[in-house]
Amino acid sequence: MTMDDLFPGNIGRMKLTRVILRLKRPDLRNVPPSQALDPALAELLRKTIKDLEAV
Amino acid sequence: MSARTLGAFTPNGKGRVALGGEPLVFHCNHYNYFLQSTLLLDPSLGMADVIRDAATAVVWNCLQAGGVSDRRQHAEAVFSELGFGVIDLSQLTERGGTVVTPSSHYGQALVVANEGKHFGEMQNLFDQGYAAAAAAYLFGLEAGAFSARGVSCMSTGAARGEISVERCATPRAIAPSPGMGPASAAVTPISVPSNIDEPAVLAALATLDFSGNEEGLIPRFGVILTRHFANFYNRISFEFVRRMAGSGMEDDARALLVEAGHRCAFNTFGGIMTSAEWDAVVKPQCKVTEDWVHGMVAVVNALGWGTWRVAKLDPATLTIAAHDDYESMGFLGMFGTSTQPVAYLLQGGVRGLMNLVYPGHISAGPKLDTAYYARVFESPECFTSSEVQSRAQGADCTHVTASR
Repeated sequence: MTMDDLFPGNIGRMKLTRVILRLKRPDLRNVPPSQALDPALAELLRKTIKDLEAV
Repeated sequence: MSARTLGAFTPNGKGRVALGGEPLVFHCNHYNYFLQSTLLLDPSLGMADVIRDAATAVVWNCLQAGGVSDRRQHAEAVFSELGFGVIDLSQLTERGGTVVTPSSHYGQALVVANEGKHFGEMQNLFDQGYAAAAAAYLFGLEAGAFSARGVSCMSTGAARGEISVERCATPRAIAPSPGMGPASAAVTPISVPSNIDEPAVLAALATLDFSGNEEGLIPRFGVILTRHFANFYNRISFEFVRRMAGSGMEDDARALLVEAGHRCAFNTFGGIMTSAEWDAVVKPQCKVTEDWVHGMVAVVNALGWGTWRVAKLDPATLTIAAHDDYESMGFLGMFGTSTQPVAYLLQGGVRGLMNLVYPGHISAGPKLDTAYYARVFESPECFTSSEVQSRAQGADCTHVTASR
């Protein structure tokens, strides 16, 4: 799982921005898009995306 | 529907209109939804209180200046007229009480923008701030005399909204609204020729009724509009950015405010450009693609956002000179000269307009849904935008350029 998988395209980029604010993790912007993510981070990101969609 | 007693709407001659000294702007439920969801992303920022207090400041100002003798009727009428819903203030006393909203833009229209899904948290923060301001106004007290909290909200599935209003032992400090803000330079005449007769468009729009219906809502152009308080948006947007200072995420916050404007453009501009009113008034004047841009700019000049002038337009570039743009004017009034551009909505709006007309082919009448938004936003032809000159930084007017 990579950042590109979780946040594809322009819409993915805006979604990542929302996740960054939610998690207070500006460092996420610097994660290489095609680098395999640590499973714990990938799970955190998936959960946050789901939380934001549920509002 | 009985006649509403509101006070006077006062145009400033530069595309803005005030009620009770407070500038008003049209915005849709999609913008209100996306903006609020952005502001509330990080609960530790305390933006819910900012939203309530921003509402209280502008509403209290507006009502105080209205010069209306029946205060309860006045406060209830303004809520409905501006599209916020229906508010019942009859149970309020000098100690507080319960305020009921049988219909509410923030309770109902945000659910529509959220694809029909109810929310986990109450979305009627504006209504709560309105109720606190109305209570203070009813009893001749200062803006921060009452606090308000949501008891129930239609956005979470309740049958109606209920708000608990309590008198504060000591009045809370509420950041004041600057009203219209400082005076500005004269609007320049239209300089880029087109086939659009802007005065005729504005005259036609002036015949339409944009007041809240019996439910106090304004369903128009496929969206649900509010005629909202400009300084409400200004306060909550600027305070959001201010609270991000030092976090390393200020630019992310600004990008999301621009994105809120982009979504606003897609839904409101898109709705307008596929409406029967557009077909009747503007479309017959559109001889070339660029006329769709000029036509929408003419309509924008009826929204209370200031006066837009097309400074440059070709299929790859649009520069808008915005006179009296409400964000810059609000910033100047609240804080003085800015070190940075602040017209987030304007940037998103200009970008959205170009995306609708060119990669979005709005003239073909597409269905304005999330799939369309995704298709356009992911297009290699998609426009970006930047604020190249800012009234808030001391320029005569604000310039925003959208380019590919």
